[in-house]
Amino acid sequence: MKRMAEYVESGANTPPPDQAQQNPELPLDLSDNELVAAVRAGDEMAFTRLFERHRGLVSRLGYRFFPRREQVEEIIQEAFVKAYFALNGYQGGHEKSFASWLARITVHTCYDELRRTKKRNESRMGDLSEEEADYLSDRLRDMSASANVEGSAISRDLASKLLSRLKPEDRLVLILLKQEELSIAEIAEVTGWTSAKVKMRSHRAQQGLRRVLRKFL
Amino acid sequence: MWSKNRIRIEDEKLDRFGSELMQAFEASETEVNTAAASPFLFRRICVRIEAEQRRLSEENNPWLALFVQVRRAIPVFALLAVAALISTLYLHSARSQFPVNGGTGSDQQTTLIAGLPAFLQDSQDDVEASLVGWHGSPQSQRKE
Repeated sequence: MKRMAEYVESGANTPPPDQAQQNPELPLDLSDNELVAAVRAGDEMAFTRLFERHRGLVSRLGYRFFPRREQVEEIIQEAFVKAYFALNGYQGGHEKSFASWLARITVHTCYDELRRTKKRNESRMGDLSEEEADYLSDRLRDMSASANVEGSAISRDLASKLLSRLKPEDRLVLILLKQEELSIAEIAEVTGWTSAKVKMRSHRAQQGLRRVLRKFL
Repeated sequence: MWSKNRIRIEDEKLDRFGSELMQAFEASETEVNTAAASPFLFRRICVRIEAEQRRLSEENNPWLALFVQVRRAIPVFALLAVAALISTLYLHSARSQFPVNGGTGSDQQTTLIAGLPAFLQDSQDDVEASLVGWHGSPQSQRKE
């Protein structure tokens, strides 16, 4: 899967041709900042164009945090609604800044939803079946026997259950650090935390993941 | 030294497995695109935006906000009114069953005794007996 940075760098600003034809009133080559200005001026078509351009980015980020399609669709909706109402506060600096700004909103939306989900299903989340627990123990034992053992792939469901045992903050940091491959400074910018807090959180997140897995050793 | 080394190896192994776990959680491009291209997704966003705009305009208009508050309070006030009516009816029926004034003497006595719990009935008898000059109930006499 593409990383957030790659997405922002690559063709995020190029609308798919079939979708671009849906808004014939707007020129195709408008930049994000121009589209934002048009939305502020009351052009709703411009918001449609922004949605079409960046829904892939939001969906991608949503899937980093949640496994189910309904959850990701909910994140897409929530993020775009938040973005729409926050457009007045957007200060477009450079060409790619809208994607970064939207990514930040999406990450915050995912984090909030993660906390809500954790509160709601505290007891039910992360319950493993006996087979899953056995499988995990076997896999970890195999890894100890030989570093290069190629075991069967971990199922997404199992990964989801194990990761749901982490604290939302830990999960957020691990995703941004390991999957999005962001630097400490970039994570600090996305989350709004200080660099020291990000460092401390990433250390704790690593410890937390080890703690979750150690139970199956 | 040996245990420190063992813990380090164990941590490395857990970190490796953790990375595998994160990779396993990743969705495919198809899934990402399917969710992004979900039908009516933009329509639903528009509906939510409209609802939010309506809510904000209601909040900003003080009269409208007051009207909304009043409308929300109607069921609560209705419930309170029903509760008040029921309690009034109950009190009224209780009064007519045990009139405080205007009843006969025996009625008053019944009311007095009826109001007491069963274990106090004997002592109440004793009190009445002492009032008429009879010392000790037959039960207490038998005990003596």
